[in-house]
This record gives sequence, structure tokens and C-alpha cells, in this order.
Amino acid sequence: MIVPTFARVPMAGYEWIVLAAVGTGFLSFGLWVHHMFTTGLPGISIGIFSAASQAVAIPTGVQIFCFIATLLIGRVVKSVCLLFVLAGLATFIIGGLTGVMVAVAPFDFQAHDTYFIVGHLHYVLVGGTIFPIVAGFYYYYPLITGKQMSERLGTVAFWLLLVGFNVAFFPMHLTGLIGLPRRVYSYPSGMGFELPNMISSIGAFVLGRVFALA
Amino acid sequence: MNELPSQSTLDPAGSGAEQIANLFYVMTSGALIIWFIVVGLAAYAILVPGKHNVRLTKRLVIGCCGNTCFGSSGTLKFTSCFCHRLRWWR
Repeated sequence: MIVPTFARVPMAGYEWIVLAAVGTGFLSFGLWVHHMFTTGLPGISIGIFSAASQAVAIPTGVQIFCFIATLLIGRVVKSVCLLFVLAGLATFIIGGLTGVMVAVAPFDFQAHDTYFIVGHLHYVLVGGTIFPIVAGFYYYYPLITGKQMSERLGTVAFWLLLVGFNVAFFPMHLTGLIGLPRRVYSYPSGMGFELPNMISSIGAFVLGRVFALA
Repeated sequence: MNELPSQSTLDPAGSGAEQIANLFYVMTSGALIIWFIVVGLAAYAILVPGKHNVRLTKRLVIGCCGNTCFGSSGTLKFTSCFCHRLRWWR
């Protein structure tokens, strides 16, 4: 909705987007086991669910390229909405690429239950839902209230949200690879967890404050 | 400061873990290339407005789509190898 509006052309490859959405839904029935690769499943199950988890990148990629094609063939009007769409794409793609990594079962055995997964899931969820929802908020606000939101303040909020989010969640990949497990309230000192956790905490405060302001 | 043994994935203690660490570095390199191409294309489309060449657009987008499918067929190949290896482990 937002992409064709601001590109001022109908969506390129609309049928492909619909097919890709159906394909994603279909594949989703066969990939949920990637959350439980370490529970002692038979090798054949891991192989099938690993393949499905990686194959979901195909329809998702098709959708993303249709969005990009629409923007390329259109006459784009820059707006805060589109900035949030771009941020959503950039973030979701990082989450998707780390998703392909953890879909590879041997790597998942190493990364399972660490902060790497916390970083991955936030990139998927925030890129796939939160940034597009904020874009939708900016898009529909004038329709409901009859007033346009400030583009200048929106741009400031956008950059603060983007920086805050990345400062909070990107170091978690590293923290996880160093070996910090998830769902712990404390950790031993001297293992290299302190600095990335401090950076994440600063980013989280920025993100929280800006969300409250925005 | 305490000196505790490393439990990092990137500090492998055996040959199997070393292979997985190498796999991570390979996947990270690939991921960086893909991210820069796709996000670069999206940023170009938004930040450099104006009607772009339709033929070039088709080439870029279909090329990227093709690479997605081609890359994924590689994934399927990898998965079949993985199943095969698992059969031998057991």
C-alpha cells in the first residue's frame, strides 16, 4: 500500500507478491521445527525442516524485489513513511540472513539459546512488523485526523529509532557468539560480555525514550 | 579480573567446532554481499528519485530474483548433503 502510493505507480508483479505470500504461508507449516533443532530430532526431520527454513527466503526475496522494482519504475516522492519502509527492509534482510545461518542445523547447535538468537529474532520482528507499523501509522494518521504529521520531526524520530534499535540489538549477535546464554539475569565477569551488553543497554534506553516521544 | 575458559563459538575447541566457525565466516561474507546489493538497490530507488530505465530495472530485479532461486537451489543441495552426512554419523 505504502510503496505503490509513494512510487505513484501500481505495484509491480502484484500476482507474484500474492503467490509469494501464499508460498510463505505454505512453507511456514514446515519450518517451525527450526526452533527446536537441539531437542534430539531424527536427522531426516532436521534436514527437511532446515531446507524449508532456508527455502522461505525465496518467496520473501520475490516480495522484496517486487517492492524495489515498484520503486525503480515509479516516480518516488520521499517521505518519512518510505524511510521507515527502507529501514524495515534493511533490518528484516539482516534478520533473514542470520535466519538462513541458524536454519543451517550445525550452526544452530552452536548458536541455540544464546544472545545470537535474541539479536536475530528482534531483527526479524522489528524489521518485519515494528518499522512497517510505524510507517503505517505515519501513512494513516492524516486519513484519520485530517492532519499531516511533521516530516522534519518524523525524520529525526526515524534516525533515532534506527540508531537506537541497531545499537541495542546488533551487538547481541556478538554477545551470543562469545557465549552468553539467553534468559539469564546475571553473568560472570571477565568473559567479554560486559562491553557489548553495556552498548546494548545504551541503545535500548535510546530506543525506549524515542518510542515514548514518537 | 576472573580468567574463565572461553565458551565462544568463534574460539573452537575441536575440529567439528572449527568447521562450524568457518561455515559462519563464509555465511557472514555471503550475507554482507547480499545485504549491500539489495539494500543498496532499495536505497538507490528511494534516494535517487525519477523515472529509471525500465530495461535496466528488469535486468537488475530479474537478475536478483534469479540469484535468489539459484542460491536457494544450492541450499537444497547442501541440505541433501547434510542428510547424507547425518545418515553416516548414526
